[in-house]
Amino acid sequence: MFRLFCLTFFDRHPMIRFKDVSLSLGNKQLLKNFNLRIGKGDKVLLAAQSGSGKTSLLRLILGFTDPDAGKILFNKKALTPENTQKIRRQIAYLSQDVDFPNGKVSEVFQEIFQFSANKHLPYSETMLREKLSAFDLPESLLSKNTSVISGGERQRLGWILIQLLDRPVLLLDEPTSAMDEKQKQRFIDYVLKTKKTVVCVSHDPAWQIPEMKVITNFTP
Amino acid sequence: MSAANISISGLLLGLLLIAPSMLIIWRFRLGFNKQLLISVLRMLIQLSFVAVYLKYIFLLDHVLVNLAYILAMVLFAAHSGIRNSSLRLKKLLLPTFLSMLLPTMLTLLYFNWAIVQIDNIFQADILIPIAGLMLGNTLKSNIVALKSFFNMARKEEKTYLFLLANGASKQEAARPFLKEAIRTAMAPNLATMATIGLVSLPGVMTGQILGGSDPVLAVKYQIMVMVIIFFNSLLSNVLQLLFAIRQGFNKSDQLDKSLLTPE
Repeated sequence: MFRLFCLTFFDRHPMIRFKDVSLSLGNKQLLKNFNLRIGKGDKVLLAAQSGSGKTSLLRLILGFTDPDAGKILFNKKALTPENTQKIRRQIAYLSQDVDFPNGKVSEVFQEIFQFSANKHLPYSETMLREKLSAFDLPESLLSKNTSVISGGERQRLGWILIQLLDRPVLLLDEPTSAMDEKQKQRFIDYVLKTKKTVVCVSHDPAWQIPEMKVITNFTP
Repeated sequence: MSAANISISGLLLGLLLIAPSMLIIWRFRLGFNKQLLISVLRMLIQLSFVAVYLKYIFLLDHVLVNLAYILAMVLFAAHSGIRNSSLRLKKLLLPTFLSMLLPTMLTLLYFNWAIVQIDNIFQADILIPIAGLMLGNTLKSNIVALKSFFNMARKEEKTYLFLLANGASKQEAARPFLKEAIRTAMAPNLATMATIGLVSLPGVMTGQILGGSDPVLAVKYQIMVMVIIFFNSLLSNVLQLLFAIRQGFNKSDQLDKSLLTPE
């Protein structure tokens, strides 16, 4: 009983935890006995060199890749096929190429907010229009196909999506690679101000600021 | 009225046309004379069998025998369908079988009961040829649907994962693939319907006219056949892909890549 009391009150458990995780892809060992604790509200920057498994780390959290050994814990519970879906619902994810499905921008957004896990969220095309203008994007983008818009526009659309989804955890993979300095700064400021837990993959020095917990090495 | 008979001598004279074909193949060194002979031989044997057993099945006309015959046809269609789609056979055989059988039975019985309005809806000489027609078409479109679904799932896995990570269930995240696969698979059906009668006379109609039917009746049959083929293929496609979504991904919703390699 006392033990339980202590555990609940004194052990502020991390929100996401990697426990002795090993992972290899092909014949390359990406992670070896990797340990990481990410507390609620933490801002973590994964800044190891490219090809070092940064993206795989995000994929592990999402349950898209299974570790060869070790565990990933989310709110103290180990990730299993049974609970991955529930965990994914607390996450918003910006992949490197922001892989929107093919279709008109307005329709793609509409569809995403019709998913049963997103239906409860307030969403309307008016909200999307407001966000577009806030991010210096033209309204004409709404009727364009996602396959013809530029990388920079795509990335800003991705940011709009994750802000509208309003999840407690953000996983960001090179989220500002196609932006100019001014735009980039705006998103870095957003990450610093938010109470959300953020894991960001980027080798851009602009992200290496004191508020970010920087991790550069995945193998001991 | 009935079709003019073809006598044995007529048959032999018909088969004689193979000879000039072979001559042409030999002359231009096209190199498929052996395949031609094998194909003709197979056709002769297979269709002779069909002639014999259909004759007896039609004479017997027993509900259970008729249904068993259809089951066998569906099983054969499902098996050859998966083999031709170069996907892993074992795991997909039962779902493919079911997604062909259920729509086919439904459409068949509706055809006999509501459209042709015959007393015995299991009547062999209607049930079996119509089932064959529908299965042939459904088989083709199911192969296309399965193939394009898994090709897209592999090619656009990143989109699938992006949606999954932003709130989609696996059904919701695979929806773009399902839509595209059905569109691709049904496109030929739509095109055939739109151009039918312009270029060539369709098979059912030709058969009936040769069999001595009134052209108007033949056209009525043809229209009904086009409609049931369309409905049947569409329903079968949808079922097939819903099964594929269930079976093509593992418990963590990752694409099961082992399905994509034939055994």
